[in-house]
Amino acid sequence: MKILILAVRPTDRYALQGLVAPLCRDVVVTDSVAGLERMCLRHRFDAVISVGFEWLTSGRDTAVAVRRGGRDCRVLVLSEACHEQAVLGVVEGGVGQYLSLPVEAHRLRRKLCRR
Amino acid sequence: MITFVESILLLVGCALAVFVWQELMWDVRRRARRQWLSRHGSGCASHICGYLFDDAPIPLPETECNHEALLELLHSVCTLTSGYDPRRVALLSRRMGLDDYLQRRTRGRTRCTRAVYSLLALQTGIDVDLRLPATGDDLASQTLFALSATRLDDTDAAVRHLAARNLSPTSAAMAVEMRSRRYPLSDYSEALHSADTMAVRIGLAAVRRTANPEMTFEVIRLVDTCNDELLEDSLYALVALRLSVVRQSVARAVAHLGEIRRTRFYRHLVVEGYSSQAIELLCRNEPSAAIRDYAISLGESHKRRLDQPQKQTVL
Amino acid sequence: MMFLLMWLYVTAVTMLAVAVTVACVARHVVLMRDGCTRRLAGLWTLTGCDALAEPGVSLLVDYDGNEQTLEELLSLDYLRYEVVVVGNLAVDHSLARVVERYSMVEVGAPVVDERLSNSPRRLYRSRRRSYRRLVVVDSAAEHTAERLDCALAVRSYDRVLAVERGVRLSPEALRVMVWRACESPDTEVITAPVMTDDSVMGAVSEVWGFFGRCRTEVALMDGDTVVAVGGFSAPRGRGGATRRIVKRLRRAGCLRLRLGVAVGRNPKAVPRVGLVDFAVCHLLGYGAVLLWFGDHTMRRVAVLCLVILWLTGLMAAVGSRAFRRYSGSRRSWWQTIAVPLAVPFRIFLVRHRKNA
Repeated sequence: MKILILAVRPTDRYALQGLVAPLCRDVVVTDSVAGLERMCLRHRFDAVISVGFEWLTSGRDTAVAVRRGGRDCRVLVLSEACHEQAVLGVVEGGVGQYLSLPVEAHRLRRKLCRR
Repeated sequence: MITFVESILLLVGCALAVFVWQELMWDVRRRARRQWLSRHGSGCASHICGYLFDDAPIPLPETECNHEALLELLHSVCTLTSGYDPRRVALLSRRMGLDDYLQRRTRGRTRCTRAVYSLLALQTGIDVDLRLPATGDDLASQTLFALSATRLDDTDAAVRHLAARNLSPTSAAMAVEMRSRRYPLSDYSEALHSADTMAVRIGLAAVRRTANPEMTFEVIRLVDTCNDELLEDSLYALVALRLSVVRQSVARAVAHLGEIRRTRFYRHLVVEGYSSQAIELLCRNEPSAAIRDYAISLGESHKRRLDQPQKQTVL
Repeated sequence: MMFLLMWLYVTAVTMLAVAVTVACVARHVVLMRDGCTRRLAGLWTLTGCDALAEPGVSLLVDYDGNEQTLEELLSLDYLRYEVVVVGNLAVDHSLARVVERYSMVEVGAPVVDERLSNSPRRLYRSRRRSYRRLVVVDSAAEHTAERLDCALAVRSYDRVLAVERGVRLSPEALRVMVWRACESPDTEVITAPVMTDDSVMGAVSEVWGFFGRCRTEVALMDGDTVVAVGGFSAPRGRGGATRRIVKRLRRAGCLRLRLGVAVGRNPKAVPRVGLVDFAVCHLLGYGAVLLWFGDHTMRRVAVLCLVILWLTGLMAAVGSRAFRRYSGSRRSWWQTIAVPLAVPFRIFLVRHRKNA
């Protein structure tokens, strides 16, 4: 399994990396939307985990670049936001799964393993 | 012989040199933290997560451990995830020397520094003896005081503790948010029945945060009683529960607000997605025609009336 | 008589050196405090559910055709905000591209407050929920202040922040400013500086501009209060729309709080020469004269003054490097050390940039 993690804070990236370590060792991290698009064009990922959803509201069509990485690519968004409109907007943007923070570690791993 | 002018200039120069040194050291510490994270961050995070979630053995501290970076890493793990045993976090922090480090930093020179590290301690759940500010209306002091309630198991005791000070909505919301992480089944219904206004305000902050439909009757009751101090809090809580605003009690309560607060409330209704018809009905008795027209037109602007043909942009 | 004048001159310049030092120390204290504020704001958990705890902000944007700026504004690290972009659709093709790109559809505009002199021609909102944050206003207004008034008329949130042409906000800008606003609920205006650019010239402008009048700023204000004083077009005078409205609000009795940390940058801004520049040049001139003509004691004083001047510049430069996060600048150490040495040439560099 190949996973891409997008988080602005470096400690968030490492934390998620440590969390998914039992599932797979092939983890790529990035801190920006441009990096996310670049990685998705170069490699094929099984899952993309994003902390925050700012990249979905900017109009960059990043979701298209992410899907280009593979139809089976699952996109999981982790965010503290619980406002109904924000969540609906995220789902409308093409996200497969929206998980509110704090997320249970085993639940996240189950979501990643599920096909 | 040093003249008077030279002595003044020498003193000034020495003071400046001290401040330059302080800023240089801040930059050096920041770079050291970044470098440690880039070298050891992922490995350390794997060990921490393995210990907290997978029953892996407790990681041994490295010889050269950057406590600041380690603290931020543990903070990220604790805020992103749930379901870990807090006792394991306490044991981990003791093994890594984080509790001593935090204890020193929470005794820092400036109030803001103490606030930052105390907040980090509370959000990670590391047991540190915090010197909470007895007074102070600034948000840092209020937030610290509010977050100390996360250490109390019993919800009613936590609400009584929080009600002892006049907290701003932001601090109250942060306290409720942090408690909901530790005690997700907290029930604030008793707070809404309390005689203490501040306790009721905490309960309403919990309603706005959780939008728990079981609090519906209490919130409607509070809007009906029209208590001036709790008017705005209860109206916004009613909106958070997505309840109908076309009620006489809501119209009565809104009439008690001033012009500016009424306009803000109508704007809030529009943003939260209430229909323009509901806003029109609520504004029936609005004394100011300008505010009434503004609120209705803003609602129609947001809702994009579908019975009218959509005008296409000519490019 | 000559001796008295000389003595007065020496005293005045010594006091000037002390005053500049005190100002630098004050800046250091403000930066340390606001660095902590930034950290506290970073620990703030935002849910977007509670309007009282997380006040909404309307960004009023005078669109300059830069789509990247718009993308950045739509992806700030805050939840309750909207971006109201103003332009003239009849002449601006880049704005028309925005309308098409974000699937926008024309809607009715709200009733404009009679205190505002400018009203929008047309209003557009997006059909897509993920772009609901964006609002486009078509207006025939030519000046920035008039356009900002059009945006002010159609806003949906209580607080406003005007983004003038060329200003690019950092992702954490709103989070930090709103946190500061929640800290002091009685303060109606929160201002924060915006950096010019990453070159040595930009660094000098930022360092010395902290004291002077040549800083570009953004201001978080209460929208109803801005409408009450007549909007952005009401105040006349020099400077940008934000600077003029902040002055007007202060004259109307509004409390103002100044953040020390920069929340964005404006590469297009041309810094102006301020009072501190003249004071610094005067100090240098005095030092040069003493070194050349003075006796042994005076030379020592001159050297001390010059060292103090260099230390103040170094402190400010190191401080700005240490607290600078946005813009991805990688200013090297030689630039940091050279900045205070470039201070005397700042006036000439500013003039050169203005003429260029």
